[in-house]
Amino acid sequence: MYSCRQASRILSDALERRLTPMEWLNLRLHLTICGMCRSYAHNVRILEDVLVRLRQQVDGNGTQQLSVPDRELILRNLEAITGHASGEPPEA
Amino acid sequence: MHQQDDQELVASWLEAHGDYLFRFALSRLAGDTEQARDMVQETLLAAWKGRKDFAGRSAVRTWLVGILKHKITDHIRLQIRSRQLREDVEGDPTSDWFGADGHWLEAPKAWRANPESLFEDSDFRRVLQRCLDALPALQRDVFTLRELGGEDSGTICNSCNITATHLHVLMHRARMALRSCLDLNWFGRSA
Repeated sequence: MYSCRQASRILSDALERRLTPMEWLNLRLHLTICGMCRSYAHNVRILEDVLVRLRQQVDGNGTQQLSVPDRELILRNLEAITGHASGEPPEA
Repeated sequence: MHQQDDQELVASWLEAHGDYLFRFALSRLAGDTEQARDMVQETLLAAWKGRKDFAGRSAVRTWLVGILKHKITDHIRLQIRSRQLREDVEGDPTSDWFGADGHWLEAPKAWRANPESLFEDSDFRRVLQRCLDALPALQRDVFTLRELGGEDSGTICNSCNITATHLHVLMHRARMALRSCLDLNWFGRSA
């Protein structure tokens, strides 16, 4: 029989790997009788859900952009290197 | 003449894909804007150096993202090495939450919230970001890469040079700490 401490660990592992049938059964059993761990499981589910939404936002149509100074900095740095490397010496 | 073309090539990549690459990096670097900017720069530079090998086998963006992914995992691995981040798997900081008998010291309360409205609440997203930033460095890097970067366990273990068990421990600790931090700074406010 799992303690709350063990149950919380297996609960997290369930998001990372396939549990063994024994682990799965023990976790189910613990959650059936332990309201505190059910609450923890509920909160972890909410956290995961929000994180998935955040991930999808970034990969899809996020709004963060390179700032204008950052963009100019990158361009300047790249020009210094690409210009230099392609043969012509940079102007003194 | 040639030089002009090359410079225009890089500038056009920055123009067309810079923001996308920036967002991609930002999400995997726990919101570190300066580091994300540097990653974009390194990616464009590496792309420029390898431009002859590219030869349009895939879309430019896919190619650039592939380079960026490598840059990010390299960066995290280096950070872990240089800071010698080694969390002891034996000494368990989750002891903070459990008594010697393995029971919760403080019973977790179920959050009354709907993930969709939480996600849309910019105040909540700021608190979540602060809680992520407050995690110990290795936990934060690994958790961010896994949850926000969507990387699979195998890739992370390889690139960060940790075992699967170590990864699972770190993910567990991060979840415990985030739950606790959000309880304290967000959900506890109404209680």
